[in-house]
Amino acid sequence: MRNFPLFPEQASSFAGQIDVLYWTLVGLSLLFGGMLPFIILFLMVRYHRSNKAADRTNQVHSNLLLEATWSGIPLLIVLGIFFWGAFLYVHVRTPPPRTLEIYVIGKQWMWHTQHPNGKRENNELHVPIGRPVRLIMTSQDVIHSFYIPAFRVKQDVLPGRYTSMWFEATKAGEYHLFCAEYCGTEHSLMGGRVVALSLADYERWLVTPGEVILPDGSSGAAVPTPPGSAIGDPMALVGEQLFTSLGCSGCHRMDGAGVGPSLQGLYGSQEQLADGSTITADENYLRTSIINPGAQITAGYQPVMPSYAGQLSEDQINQLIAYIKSLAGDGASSGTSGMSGGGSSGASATGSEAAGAAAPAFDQALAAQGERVFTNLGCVGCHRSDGAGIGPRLNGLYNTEQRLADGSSVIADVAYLEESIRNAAARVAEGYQPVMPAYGNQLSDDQVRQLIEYIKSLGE
Amino acid sequence: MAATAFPESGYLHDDTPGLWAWIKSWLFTVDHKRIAILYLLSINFFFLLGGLAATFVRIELVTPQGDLMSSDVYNRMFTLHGVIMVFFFLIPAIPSVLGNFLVPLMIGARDLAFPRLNLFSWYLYMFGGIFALSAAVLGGVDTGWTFYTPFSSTYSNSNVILTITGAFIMGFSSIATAVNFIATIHKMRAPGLTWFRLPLFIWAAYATSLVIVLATPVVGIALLLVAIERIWGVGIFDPALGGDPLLFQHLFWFYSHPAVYIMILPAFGVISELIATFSRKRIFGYEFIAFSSMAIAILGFLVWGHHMFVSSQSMYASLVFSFITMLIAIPSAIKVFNWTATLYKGSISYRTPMLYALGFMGLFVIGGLTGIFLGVVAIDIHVTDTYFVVAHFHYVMVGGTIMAYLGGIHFWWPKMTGRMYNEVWGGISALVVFVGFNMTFFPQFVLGYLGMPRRYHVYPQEFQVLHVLSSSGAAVLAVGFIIPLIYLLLSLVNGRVAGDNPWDATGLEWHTSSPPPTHNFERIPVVTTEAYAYPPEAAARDAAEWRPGSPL
Amino acid sequence: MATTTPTAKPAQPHGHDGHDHGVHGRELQHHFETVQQQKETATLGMWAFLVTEIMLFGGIFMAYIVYRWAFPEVWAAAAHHLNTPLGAVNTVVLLVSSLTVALAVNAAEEGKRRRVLTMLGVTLVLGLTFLLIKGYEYSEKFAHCAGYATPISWVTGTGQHAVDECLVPGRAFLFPEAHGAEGAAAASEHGAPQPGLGSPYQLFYFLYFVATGLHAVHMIVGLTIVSILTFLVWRGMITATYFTPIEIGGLYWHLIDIIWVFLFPLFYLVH
Repeated sequence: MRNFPLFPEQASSFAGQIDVLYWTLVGLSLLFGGMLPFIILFLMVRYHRSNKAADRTNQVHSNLLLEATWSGIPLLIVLGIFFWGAFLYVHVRTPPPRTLEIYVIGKQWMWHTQHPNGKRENNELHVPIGRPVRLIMTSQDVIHSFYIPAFRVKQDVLPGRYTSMWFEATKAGEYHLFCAEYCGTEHSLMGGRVVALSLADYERWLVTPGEVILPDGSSGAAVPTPPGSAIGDPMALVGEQLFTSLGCSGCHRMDGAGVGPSLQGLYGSQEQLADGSTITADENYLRTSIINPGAQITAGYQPVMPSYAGQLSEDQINQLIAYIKSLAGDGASSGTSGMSGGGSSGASATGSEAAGAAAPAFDQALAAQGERVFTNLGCVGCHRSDGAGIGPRLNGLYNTEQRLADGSSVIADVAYLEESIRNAAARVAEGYQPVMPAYGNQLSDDQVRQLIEYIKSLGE
Repeated sequence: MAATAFPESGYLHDDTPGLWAWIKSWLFTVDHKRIAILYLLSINFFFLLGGLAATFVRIELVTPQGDLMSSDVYNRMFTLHGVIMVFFFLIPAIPSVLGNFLVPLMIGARDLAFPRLNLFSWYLYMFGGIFALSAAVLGGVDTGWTFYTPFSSTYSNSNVILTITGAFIMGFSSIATAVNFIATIHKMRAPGLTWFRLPLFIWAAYATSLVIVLATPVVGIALLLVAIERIWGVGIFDPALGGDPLLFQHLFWFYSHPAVYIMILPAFGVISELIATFSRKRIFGYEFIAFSSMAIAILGFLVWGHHMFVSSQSMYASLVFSFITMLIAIPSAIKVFNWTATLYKGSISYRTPMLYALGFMGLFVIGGLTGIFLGVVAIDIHVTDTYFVVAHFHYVMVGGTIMAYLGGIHFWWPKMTGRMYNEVWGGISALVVFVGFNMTFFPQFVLGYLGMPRRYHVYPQEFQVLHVLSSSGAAVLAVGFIIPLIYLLLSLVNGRVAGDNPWDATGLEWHTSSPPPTHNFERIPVVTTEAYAYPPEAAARDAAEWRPGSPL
Repeated sequence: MATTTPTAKPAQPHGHDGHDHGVHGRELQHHFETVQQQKETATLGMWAFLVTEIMLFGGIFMAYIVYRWAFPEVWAAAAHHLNTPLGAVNTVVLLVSSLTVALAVNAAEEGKRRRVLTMLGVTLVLGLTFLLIKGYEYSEKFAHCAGYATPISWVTGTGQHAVDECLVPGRAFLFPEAHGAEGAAAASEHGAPQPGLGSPYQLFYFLYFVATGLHAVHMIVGLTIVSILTFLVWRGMITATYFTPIEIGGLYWHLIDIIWVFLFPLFYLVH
């Protein structure tokens, strides 16, 4: 029977509960749906025209009591079933306060998952058993649906917003992971496996070498940091860097004195909006406020924040939100806070060592890395290639004469570019405002070199 | 009921000689009966086409690997199957073929209210069909019949627009038919034919028409918006363009859930006719069956959200939709119980149409009960978008609508053509369809609960046994559909002349000749009794008259 | 048939001989019994069709409600860039045309052929006026995209300047105000416009063009119907005893009018 199952495995805390309801329904169906055909068969034979013995006198054509009975009893039963199903549903949709949060990004035709310590997987999901796990999911393109039959959970994954679901695995093993919403050509290949591990095994797995998120926000092969170590949540760390490099911290000051509201303790709280309504600051609210800040303005603030739509990758939005959530304090869940530090602490090689590997001498490679940095830092948001950005266009900039805001001019050589990156306000191009944040020592010399090589490579 | 000579004055008869005149007399006819025949031919053509696509899908699924066709071709194949079957077969099948033929006959009218509109609706249907077919010929479409955005509006690079145009035009064909039915049923009933004397088929056609008129334009506009978004790249559903993909699902299901009732309500009507006639007895609980049709039509508009339980709609919305979905189970149950009660103390004969009707009851009960499973949100989370859903709606659509359609065709075939078919083969085909159907779709319930997602081209090894079972059932089912095609066509050549009322039925349509004259009735009848007015002793007399050798 | 009671018995002389067209006059189609029945049927059919039409626009209104609820301030800002005076004029034009159609029906009932013709003629003129004004509004938007101030300067090719506003949804869409507006220092310094795709402003204009475009299509259908009616009256095929076509044609015209009465405040008068 191993290759011919008739019933799915029960591997989550929901599975048993849903199966009980399911089998109850099957039982009731057999009672009704099974009985009825036999009644029909009986009547078919009993009153067949060839059976002359059957009594056909005193026919009835309507009977209110009978109608009421066979409307009323099924009605009571389905209402009972409804309430049973409704309570179970509310349970399935309401995550407990402390969960392990894993980010999921769906795209045609692949699942990316990312654990709180920065460990990433493709088409696989490792989860610990006995611990509630919440998936925070979004899609880069079309609608997908994250489906783990053995856990009896499924949730559509939509572009442009977060959906989430939670479960608690109860049995170690490997289970199917499917995309259940039709998403195009290779829909049926968009899946893989979910591996449920004991907590200790899961924490050991978390620090195995593999793809992780690097401090510059990109991802590459490295040894991930163990959860609960001093380094903290790498996603939130990267988010914090992004937060600074995008200049968010200028307005969203922690002391609350900024142009924008302080984000300290924001996540999970009730926000009073300018239109008088209140809203729970969940992931979707944070997301909307980054992508479309004008939609839901906090009471007491002006709608002045520019939109970041199209300027941030899904990964970067996840990182920013992870950072904002890390500011929430104790009340809300925050990543691995519930995890015990069971991993080996010796394996904490940081990602930057791996990433900043010896740079080859020729420009092409440097420029390519520079482009990554350029994108990850969000420079593209202002220095748009069509010239319509807040900052000047960089194509063809290198080694040309540039007019500055103070009326002088300068040759845009390496020194000027480096100065403009580290301290942008020093020499501002004519026609632009000194709004670019100073990247001072946030960038390594290597990264600045890469950026400059990239800017050099931008021809007209 | 002596066989009389074949009447030469029927609507099928042409006075004018010549091939061109004959073609013209069909293509430009405004006679509802001839238009019904035009629909019969074209709808069955689409049914065979959709069935062919289903055959390829089932053959592909015999093995877990994708070996017969590429994933792209597979996606186009199941989309073709869905689009053709839903928009060009299931929705128009019973209303446009049986409804067109029967509504005026059953209410004692000479034609539908707007005969030219009726013909126009057939041209719209064909026009829409040509669009959908040309989309298929030019490479197909791979969005599934649900056209979910943003896949359909931005990401798919197949012939979405052509297909959408086809469905859009076909929608107006439905609307034209529905407007015609509403006006006809309201205003053109024979003298004495009050609402509660109407045959239940008319009640069902009326409820269906209301649903069509209210729901179809909404999907029309939704599809139009998808087309505009696709052509001009301006967003209303794609979040990358500022839109909301769920809005499309709401608009789509606001139509497409009632569309399910557009497909099944007329089937209820047909079954009511068949059960009463072949029990020789008045239908049990006439008012309850009539009003349950209306209740389904109304409640059907309030349950579209049960297609979106995992789409991220709010929890409260899901609970409300789930609740109303539970309620809508009741009117369906009422119908089944009343039909069963009709059998009691009747004189039941196993004629071909009755076999289909009894098969319908068995299959519809399973389809309806599994609908309750899907309405319970907690279970729906697990089984939605799996083969459980596929099995459920095939039990309702194929087990319900197609069984009723075939039953209706067999019942009114003598009226339409004036000929009887071979009833031995008729019984065999009904049995083969019933068995083949259950073989095909019952394993899919098991597959679905195991977690097999729908629209999968390749699938895990362990599902193969059930898929093979399903595919072999599909082969049986295909045979079951081909047998009637053969003997019905043969009956046109050598079928026995049927006579006016071969089934000993009571409806007004049986009071005119077979086939009926162009203007339906020599004299417009005056109705003095309710529908299915078999006298109390009819059943007993029918049994008493039965001799070995008479039809079973 | 032994076991059945006849449900119906032959009645009234509406057999074949009573059924030729001469008896009823040419306007009664063969399948109706009386002129009254035919008229009621036609009117009921039209009403059923009008319900369909309302549901068709209902889909757009639904989308409108969803997005207006999501972006209230965008809706208010975007509505200011529609030409409200022209929209108001158009509303008046349509309301008057509804009146003239009603008068035409009334005149037809009284058998006043000349007055029917006059009223239908005025309706035609008013309908065309509406479409012309609507066309001017559209071309204004397109002219802005091409960099001209008015459609007239676009045609004459004078005074082209840089595009600072393009309200036609598409890749070139450009809403003149910075998103979230006024205080956004960085953005407004360069008058940084709100770029096209993905902007909720575009949703407003998308819905505006779809809704008014669909309405314009209905106007064209309505004008065709009124033209045919005029022709029928001119040929004397409409009489005081048979004016159903005018009546149901008028119903259709009123529907178009009513839909506009909803569209105008929803798009032009948002605050």
